[in-house]
Amino acid sequence: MKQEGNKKFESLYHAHKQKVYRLCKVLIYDQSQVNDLFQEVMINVWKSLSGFKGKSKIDTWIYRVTVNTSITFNQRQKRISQQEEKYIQNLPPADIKTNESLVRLMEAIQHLNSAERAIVGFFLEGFSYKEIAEILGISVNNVGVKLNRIKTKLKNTIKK
Amino acid sequence: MELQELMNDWQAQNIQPELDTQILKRLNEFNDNLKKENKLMLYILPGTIYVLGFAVLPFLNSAFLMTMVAALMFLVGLQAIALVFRQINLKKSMSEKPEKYIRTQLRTLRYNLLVTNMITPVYMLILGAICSFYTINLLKDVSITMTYIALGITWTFLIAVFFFGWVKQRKKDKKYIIPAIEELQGHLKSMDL
Repeated sequence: MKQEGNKKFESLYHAHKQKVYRLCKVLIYDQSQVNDLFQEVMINVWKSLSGFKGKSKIDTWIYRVTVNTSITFNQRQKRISQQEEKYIQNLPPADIKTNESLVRLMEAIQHLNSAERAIVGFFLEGFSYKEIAEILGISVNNVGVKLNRIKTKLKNTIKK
Repeated sequence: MELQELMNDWQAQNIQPELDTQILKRLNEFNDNLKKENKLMLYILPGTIYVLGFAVLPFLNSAFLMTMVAALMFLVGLQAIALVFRQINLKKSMSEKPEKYIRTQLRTLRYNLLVTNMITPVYMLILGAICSFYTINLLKDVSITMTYIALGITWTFLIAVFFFGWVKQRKKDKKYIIPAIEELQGHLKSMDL
């Protein structure tokens, strides 16, 4: 049983790791912690996999775990950095430093709140409005309205 | 740059997460450590208090003391059950839509505040009642004045310990739990939920 679960997790991990990692990069507030967030997401996916009842698509389920984990992770990191008076690194991650437009995009994303980050993250990954609405539990119209606002915000920030 | 081009660039990023090497081994190790911690909080601590409570009950020669020990056991049991339910709910809500997850988190944080402000004082009162009972029984035949002094010392000590503990905890709550609650409420608002 455990072996079966492990195999299922491994195949899920390899199928979704890139998307989940890129989402983590958008959702995280402190870019130096992106690997830690990714690890925590995977731990939560692994722990909750046995409870997955198939009510939604497995992709939707994994991305919900990612968004939810990021909410508490960011909160905890903020608390730790306050305790240690640590500087939160808002710099774009090293792996995209070669692409200037992505660097500017990442810098602009840093100015968004967590809900906006989640929407823009899914949008960049090519999710449809319907899929984003399903993952975040909001209406399709709401996704459209928010996305338009986010695009304007991003454009304005990038222009500056 | 066009949006579509940006999206293509974004999706073309080939990332190799650091977790790749021996992921299952690391997750298994992590889970084993977590299980050990959970065992201590969920079973060993409440279990020890229950065993001690039941061991002591037959030797108590007063209905008052029996009630106090039973109340102590009841509270510990209640907290252990609450902890179990909280863990189950948190685990379940992890894959729910963010609104539900945030609400579960908020409930957990509010419960922590409730423990500081409501449950801990009850523990102190029970402990104080047990101490007073023994003080009165031991000293009432010796001297009434001494009984009052002993009671005064007992309660002053208990209140002082409780008060400093409570102030310390309140400081922590104000620094971490209350901002965390406000932040989660902010998340809810930002999602228009």
